This record gives sequence, C-alpha cells and structure tokens, in this order.
Amino acid sequence: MTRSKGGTAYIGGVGLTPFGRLEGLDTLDLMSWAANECLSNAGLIRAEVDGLVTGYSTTMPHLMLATLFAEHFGIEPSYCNGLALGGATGCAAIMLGKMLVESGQCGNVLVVAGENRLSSKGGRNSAIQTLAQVGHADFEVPYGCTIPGYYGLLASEYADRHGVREVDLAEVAVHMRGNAAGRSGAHLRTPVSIEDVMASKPIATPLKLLDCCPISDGAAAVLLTSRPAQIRITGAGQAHRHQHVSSIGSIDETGAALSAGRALAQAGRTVDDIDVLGIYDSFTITLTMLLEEIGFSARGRTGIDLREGRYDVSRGGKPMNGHGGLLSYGHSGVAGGMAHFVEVVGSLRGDRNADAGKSGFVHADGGVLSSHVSIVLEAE
Amino acid sequence: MDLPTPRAKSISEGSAVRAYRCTDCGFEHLYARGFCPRCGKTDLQPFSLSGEGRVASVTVLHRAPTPEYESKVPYAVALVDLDEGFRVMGHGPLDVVPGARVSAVFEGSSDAPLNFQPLAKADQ
Repeated sequence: MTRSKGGTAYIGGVGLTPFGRLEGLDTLDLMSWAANECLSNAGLIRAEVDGLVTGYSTTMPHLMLATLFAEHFGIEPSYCNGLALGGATGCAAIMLGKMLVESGQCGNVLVVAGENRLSSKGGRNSAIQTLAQVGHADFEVPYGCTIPGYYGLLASEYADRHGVREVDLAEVAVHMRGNAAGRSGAHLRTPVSIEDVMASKPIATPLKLLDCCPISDGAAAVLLTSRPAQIRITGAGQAHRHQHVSSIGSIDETGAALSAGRALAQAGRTVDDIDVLGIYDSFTITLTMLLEEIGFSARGRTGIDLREGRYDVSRGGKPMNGHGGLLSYGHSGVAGGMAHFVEVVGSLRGDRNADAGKSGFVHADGGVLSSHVSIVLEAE
Repeated sequence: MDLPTPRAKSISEGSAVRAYRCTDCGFEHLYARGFCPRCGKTDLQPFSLSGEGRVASVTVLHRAPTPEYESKVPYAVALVDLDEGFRVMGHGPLDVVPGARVSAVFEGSSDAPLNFQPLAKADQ
C-alpha cells in the first residue's frame, strides 16, 4: 500500500459478534469473526488493510498479539500495534487508528479485539483472579480485593458524598437490561426489576450481582479509513491521573471530564450537542460516576434522570448504550469497550431510528476509573 | 554508577505506617519508590505516621479473588484517609462505615497487611 494523503478519519465499517458463551472459539477465532464482519461491512478486501491495532487477551497472553493476528487473519500491514489500557484499550486503539489515518501513515486501519473470557479453561474464576491484579501489587492485592471490590469502594465513597442510594444504582442495571432485551446478540436479555437488582446476592457491597457486568466471550472490530464515509471521527482525548483506587486524588475528578473535554474541544462540541451516548458501564457505579463527572447528568442525579426518561428513547430521551452495555450485552474485555462504539456508529447511521441525531460520544475507562478515552463522532 | 536501592514493599516499619519526605523539594509520599515522584531526587527522609484516620469508603467482599481468600468471606476492605493526608487500603471490622475514626493495629509481623479498628470515643 502507498501512503495516503491523510486528513479526516472516517468509519469504514464495524463488526460485532454476539456476546455470551461461545464455546470452542479462542481469541483468534473470535477476533477473526469480528474482523471478517467488519471488512464485509466496509466493503474492503484484506489487501486494502495497511494498519492493524489490537488490544490484549487475558486468555491468550502473547508478546505480539497484533502480529500474531495479522498472520492468522492473512494481512501484511505496514503498521501494527497491540495496546493495553484495560477497559479503555478499545477506544484507545480506535483513537490510534484515527491518528494513523489523519497523519497519512495509513489508509485503512483495522482495530480488532476479542477473547473467550467466559468459556476458556479457568473461565470466570480465572478472569476474576487475573482482573484483581489491576490493584496495587503490594498495597491492595494482598487485601483480597477484587475489581468489584475496587468499584465497591468507589460506590461507598460516592454514596457518602453525593447521596446516591443503592436503588439509584439499580436503575442503571434495569435500564441496560431493558436496552438489551431486543438484541439477539446480548449476553443477558431477561428483563429485571429494581426489586430483582436489590434482591440479588451481594458481591462487594454496596454492589450486588446485578450491579456487575457479566464475564463474556465475544469480539468487536472497527475500520478507520481515509475514504469518505457517512460517519467521521471529529475528536478524541485521553486522561490518566492514577492507576490504583487508593491513589485517586478526588473521586469527583478521576480524569473522565478532562478526557471528554479534550475530545469535545477538538470536535468543537459540548456535552449539550451530543445526540447519542456510548458510556462504559462495567458496574452501575461506573456509568453513574462517568455520566456525572463528564456532565451528562448532574451530581447524584443519574438514577433520577433514568427514572424520568432522560436516556429513554421511547420517552424522547437520548439513546445511551442501546445494545445493553457491558451490564447486559456483556463484557469480553477489550471488545466489551468497543461494543459501545459499534452501537453509536449504528445509531448515527440510522440503523435503529432514522432520526437518531448527528453527534455521538463514546467514553471508556480502564482500571479503576484510571485510564480514560473519549471519542466524538459526527454523521454527514 | 550506583544501582538504585530496591524500594520498600511494606507499608509499615515496626509498629508504624511509614511515609517519605523529599529533603530537596519537601514533597511527601506514601508508596515507596526510592525517589521523589515530584522532583526525582533520591535523598528521602522516612517518617512515621500516627496510623489514625477517617474511613473514606468500605466494601464487604462476598466473592473472593482467589481460593486462599474464599474461606475468609465475608471480609471488609476499607480506604482510610490518614490524618497526615495519605489514603491507604486496610482490613477492618464488617460494620465499619465511612466517616468512622480508626487506628491501625499492629499484631505480629510488620509486613502483615494493615488492619484498622475503630477508635474508642474517648480517643477521638
């Protein structure tokens, strides 16, 4: 491939597998599935892909996953990279794809991630143990804390500071399950009530089972291209202020607003301009804190806003995580954080509703609200 | 050139939580690095903290990360804002709540994880 002239990064195509238990498929099988769907959606052949960005896979740890995938999938990119920023990896990879296209380094960048986090050997137990290592090796992990535990600590302090009650968090779980109900690919589709969430077993108080996303198999892919298309990326930003929950300077300034502000400024937009939202929701508290720090909802208001229909399309609200988010579509690692992006692209294309709007915003966090990546999209 | 000194992996020394003050810029930090994370200088003065503070947040774990911890559920993990301004993780009683005044209790090895107990009213 020759270097393109660069300029604007457009979304050439997207691919998303069902999430859930996809027995027998490993990381490479799942990534290939999503990548094939994505190229088909983009109308591209393999030889046209000159850039590849992958994430990591906890079920297939590898020194060079991107190169491994390139060989397996049958492409010979002129640029290749594998990123690791926890749950923010997918959006960070998309941001890198945008930069590669804008700079002219690449013409068609495939971003792809996937893993069999649920059905792999060790399954859920192994995933929980692996993920807990995001805590401080000396000063947190030895306390037997888990990812739900780190977020339980955030929820405890946030409730104390902003009056967020457990029933307010439950609204998030109910809403995401409602969104997933109509999606055949979603891991969890059975509707739940506030009472169901409140009665679910405690995991890491105040978080209960239904406040937590499931652990899923699945994959997602996005193609960034210099070739003009309906959707383009107009802004991207990041922020990294801490890694460990005990080192967060302030739970009200985790970096989410900084990241979003950088992306929105680049796009020349404000939160009020955004029509469609894709916001990371590993736990009910995650979505609550991100919405409120970025400014889509006022402090302590997310549960109330959900009850009042602010994010309910059928009541005139803004669409948010229409696929059901991590909480219900499912969480397969890096691909879980990319599913929101795929969903927002679909909404802006009018797949769900012809009048969905023109401006989209996607935000992901990795670790314990540690790494933040925000992306702004616009439809023609 | 001298090799850097390996950093301390324990939060405490003897029966006290230990922090570090940069003798050059004065910045104080808790997690040992062997250098000042603000200015990068390596001349650090360790100092002892009172071990007392206020609970910022607490979670009770009902799902353990490893088989080793399974027999211990439910157990509480708290973040404590020490009076000197540092935030640390520690174990504590199941019924401890945000806002409670607590003090680190040292039993046995100084390498053991921190354990906080509520301060009696008279001590607060």
